[in-house]
Amino acid sequence: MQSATFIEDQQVTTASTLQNKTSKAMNRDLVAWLGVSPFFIFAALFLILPTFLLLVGAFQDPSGNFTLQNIANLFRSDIIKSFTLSLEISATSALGGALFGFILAYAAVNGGLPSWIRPTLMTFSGVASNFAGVPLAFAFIATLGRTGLVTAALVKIFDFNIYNAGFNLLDFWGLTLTYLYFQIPLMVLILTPAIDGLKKEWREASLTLGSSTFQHWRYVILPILWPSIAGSTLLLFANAFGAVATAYALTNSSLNIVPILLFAQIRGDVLHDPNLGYALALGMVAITGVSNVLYIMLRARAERWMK
Amino acid sequence: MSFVEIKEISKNYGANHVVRKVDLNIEKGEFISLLGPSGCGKTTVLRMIAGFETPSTGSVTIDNEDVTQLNPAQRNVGMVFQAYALFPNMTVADNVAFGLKIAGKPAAEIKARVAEMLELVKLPLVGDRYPYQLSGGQQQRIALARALAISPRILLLDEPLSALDAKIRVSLREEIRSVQRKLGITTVFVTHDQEEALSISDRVVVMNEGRIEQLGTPPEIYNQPRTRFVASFVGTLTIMSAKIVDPVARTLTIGDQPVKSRLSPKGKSGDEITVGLRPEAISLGKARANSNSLNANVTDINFLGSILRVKMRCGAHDIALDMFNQNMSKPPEVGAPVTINFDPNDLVILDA
Amino acid sequence: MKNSKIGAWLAVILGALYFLLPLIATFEFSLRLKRGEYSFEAYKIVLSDPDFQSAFTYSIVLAIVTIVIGILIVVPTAYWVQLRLPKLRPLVEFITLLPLVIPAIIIVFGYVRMYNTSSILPLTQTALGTDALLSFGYVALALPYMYRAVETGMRSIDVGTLTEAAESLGAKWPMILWKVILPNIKSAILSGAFLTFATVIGEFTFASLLNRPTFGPYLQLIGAKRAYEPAALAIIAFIITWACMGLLQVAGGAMRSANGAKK
Repeated sequence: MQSATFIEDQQVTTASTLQNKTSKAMNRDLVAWLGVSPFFIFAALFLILPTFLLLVGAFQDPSGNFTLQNIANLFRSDIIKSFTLSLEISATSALGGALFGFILAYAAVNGGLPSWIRPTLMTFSGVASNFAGVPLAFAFIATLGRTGLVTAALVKIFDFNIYNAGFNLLDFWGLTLTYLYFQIPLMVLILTPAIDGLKKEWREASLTLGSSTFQHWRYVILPILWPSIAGSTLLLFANAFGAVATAYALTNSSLNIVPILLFAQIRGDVLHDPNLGYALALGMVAITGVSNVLYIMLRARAERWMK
Repeated sequence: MSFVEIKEISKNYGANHVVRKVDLNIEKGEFISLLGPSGCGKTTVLRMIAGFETPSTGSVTIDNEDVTQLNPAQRNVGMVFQAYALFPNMTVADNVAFGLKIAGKPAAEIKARVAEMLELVKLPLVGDRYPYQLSGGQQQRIALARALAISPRILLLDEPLSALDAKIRVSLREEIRSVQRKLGITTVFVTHDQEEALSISDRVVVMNEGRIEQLGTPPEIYNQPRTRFVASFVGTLTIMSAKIVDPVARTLTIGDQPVKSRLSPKGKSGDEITVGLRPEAISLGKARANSNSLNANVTDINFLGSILRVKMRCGAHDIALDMFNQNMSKPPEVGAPVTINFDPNDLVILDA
Repeated sequence: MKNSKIGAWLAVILGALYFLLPLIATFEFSLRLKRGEYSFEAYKIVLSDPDFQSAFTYSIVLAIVTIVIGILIVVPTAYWVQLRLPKLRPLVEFITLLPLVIPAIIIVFGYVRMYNTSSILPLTQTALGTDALLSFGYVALALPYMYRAVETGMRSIDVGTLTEAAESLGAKWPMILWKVILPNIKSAILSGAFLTFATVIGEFTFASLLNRPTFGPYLQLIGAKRAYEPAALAIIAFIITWACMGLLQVAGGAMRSANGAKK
């Protein structure tokens, strides 16, 4: 009998400590949830809801009914033209940025250069990738504008006027060249860790196995790096596709890329159809979204090997 | 003419002399270890054999061919690295096949050779996997298979076991040795682990500060270390100073106590020399005929599982001895006076 | 070996040329205001322009407000996610990366639609409301940088043990956050703050579409009607960005050496 009571007692104590513990744990969880709630409220109000409502608007007519007409209107020739131009500029600047960024990053990491080159390049890339927008446009006008320093120097030294040769800072190639100023450093920043991941033993292993430098690149370096390179290129593409300020300050809306068109639409409904504006936004988000999803997939692939 | 001849190679980085005039001949089929602490130059010697570093002076000859100026791809050597260095983008089979593919071998031959190599390292079933799906030990075996697939003239192993767990380290080193014997391939193995070097080598090269300290078979290195460095780097050694009494009669004194040695000490009567004693060469008990004995006091006893290490004070020296941990025999007590015995053979006379 | 080194030098030199030429050109251009001589006249004009002063001050205040709000939102979140709600980490990380996926112009378009004068929450009705909206927008823009910096900082210290140690000494969580966690991730927070500052100070799209007279729209305005002053402004903007990145490195270095000392 006595022993039974004892066991019962023990059970009671265990149960009460358990209860005590759960309530304490619940209390702690409550504090934690309260602690993170401002973040979620903020994200909902200033990030997710505004975007979501905007995208919903793409599927509504002016009186709020469901329609696919706005999406269909995106295929109007002027809008298609804007998208094509945007895609071309973004793709060209992304590919160019990726190529030159890769070469620069590789040279700095594995090129056998003095050790101060790498940190200098990294710091500079941090600055230059953030030096986008209006000031960047000014810098390029001062450099390659009609009276820019480089333009004038080329005329003076080589008697060669790039503007007579068809170059114009305010059109496709001018904007692409300007975008490269932040695209190349961005590539350097994103890709350097991947290049760092190339072990020097791989080079040595493939050397002892008889491979040439070309074969080492062909069979080892490029296959290992391509997911990182492709992923970073997509990120650069999305980065250029969403950029407004540089293009706006440089071309003053003479170049009708999508973000500029949207900028004008927000300012003053130049499309005379607010819901078409929402559809335009949807188109942009779709493109940058897809690029980012692909980027994440490629990054996962790149990391799979690197455990 | 030896299979590999290394003649007076040195390597300097500016004023930093990493390797100083190393001479080494390796016979065909021999397993040689380069043993030494980090920074002793052992890896640099290996890398000069492989061709990753060019010697500042001296030459490397493999099979009568001077390879000093050849790049690694032209030397036909196989190399295994500490960090495995498998190509992460290729399957195991593709890794092993890499060298053969570069050499332009026909596909059927490559396939057969890959299967043979995987069989050799006892991993016949992992050909389709990627390196990240294998354990460290498995990856290192694949790295070995990859290095051997091209039938290299020499196999170079750069601390291949250092990144592995203790247990796998032992089993893999035995396996490396058995594969090496089976193929009869000349092998140079770099390690900082004396047990590793002693257990698998035909000969061991002990290096320190860019020089060869001693070259010999494992028993020679362990039992007759020539320098204080070798003696203390390989195994545990109690180092003591002694005074020569009579170099011809081979009598010395340690403290005030007389001892005999097997070899004649270099020097004359009254000279100070350095001698060493392995803990396992000493036993406790009464003085025996033909053996040396010293009086000492027990200062501490360490329990090491199967072995008890007894530390003692003998005059100006601390001496350690190892005794088996037997239930029957009672260890001495701390503070107790004891007599220790050792054979004159076991008294090691050190050059420096 | 030699060839690849020449190639590497060539790449770095060409890269340096491409990146330095516009800076040199801009600087040279900014000195040409007075005919026939180099002078800092353009800088004098710009710096003494009351519009510049007010726009610049305005942007600095906005940046500071943004940084403070950002810290208040991000630090507790990163702390609780690390300590008690690790299952939320993927979601929180996903949200903090959204501003890199959704272009800024889309987010501000959403604001214009959601907070317009005829909405339930007509933030754009008053200047103060719009300023608040602009600040929140900037917090959103800077979220990826701020969160990443703070999260890295928290991972490098053992938040769990520090909290338990503080709790065992009787501290409550506001005290723990303020007195224990915050000082230990100070350099991480500073890193995030400098990045936020660099992002906010010359921002154009948000400010322009919300019609606030910050530094970004001011730059654009001057660019449209002046010749030499924009170059001077570009140099000033570049120096600010450079200063932010320099301070960022200093903060990062402090963080690394603090961690190193611990190990």
